[in-house]
Amino acid sequence: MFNGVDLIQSAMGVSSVTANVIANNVANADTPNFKASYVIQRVEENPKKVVPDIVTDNSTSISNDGNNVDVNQQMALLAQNTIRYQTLALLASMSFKRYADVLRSS
Amino acid sequence: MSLFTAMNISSSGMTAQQFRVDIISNNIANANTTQTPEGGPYRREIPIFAERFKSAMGGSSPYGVEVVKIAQDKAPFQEIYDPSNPNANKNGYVEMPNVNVLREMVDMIDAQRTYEANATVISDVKTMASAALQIGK
Amino acid sequence: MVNPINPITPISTGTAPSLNSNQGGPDFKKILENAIDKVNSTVQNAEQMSQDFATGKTSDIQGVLIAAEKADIMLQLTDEVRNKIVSAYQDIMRMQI
Repeated sequence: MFNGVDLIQSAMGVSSVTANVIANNVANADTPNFKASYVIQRVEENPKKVVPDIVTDNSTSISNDGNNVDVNQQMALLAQNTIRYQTLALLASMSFKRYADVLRSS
Repeated sequence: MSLFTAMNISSSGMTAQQFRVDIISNNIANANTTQTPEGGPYRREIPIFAERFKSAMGGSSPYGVEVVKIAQDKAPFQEIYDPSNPNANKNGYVEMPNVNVLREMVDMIDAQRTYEANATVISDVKTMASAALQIGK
Repeated sequence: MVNPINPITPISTGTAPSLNSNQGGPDFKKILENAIDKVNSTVQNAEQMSQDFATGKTSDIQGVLIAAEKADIMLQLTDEVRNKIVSAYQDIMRMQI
């Protein structure tokens, strides 16, 4: 019955993992040899949900201490992630409101 | 992994940057210190950061940053000619700390920016949490 | 002389208008069914769009939210129409004949 909401919930979970990964990247912006990680969202079926895959970017280096965190890029990702989370929360809320509307009208 | 984890991670980042500013201000304050308890002029200090992990069930997950040690800059001291200085050697040269104030200032701006980035993460995560609180209202 | 009483003739031999007869206008039941179908498809579309957003297939925030808002309004409208129909039915039931 709540398939749609369950999917949204799993997407919000992925979003919150993304926030943690970004927070860790920013906190380690000055740690020598630290490599930034990123979250890739993977879709699973039956029941339909999304799960986070954390990958570490070992390929690049933007400073000479082996660290590859680009704080500006992390800030952009963070802003995107926050908007995404807010939208998902709103969608979940509206979905519940629809159920409530139908229930109240009988 | 909850949203609180992200807040804790960012706060560790803020603490680390604050510590870095402490070290930088100590370097600047001692830019002209020619005597130390260990003997010789003051050596520039550098905080060394390392990624921190939290051991959870069946593994460990990243949990921010920590200061593992305070290293000393191995760069040679600057020598300036000042025969009247009590610390001058027999040729009239005084060893001055290997602190470059200009470089410390640049480091301080960098620390300040990173501190702000960490604070931004906390504030955005807070926005996310309040969005979640609005579900069902 | 007494005349026999004439048998009573029916007042009218015409048939009463049937409730089911199609008077040229569209069938009320059909209209209702179509309206409900439309509401249902709007709601399903909103669900599909928010699923696509959750799986990352689209990032069209305004499209997703407008679809969801449409579904909300459609449901509220349906509720309102239903209330009107029920009250009309009750009015007819109370009618003195």
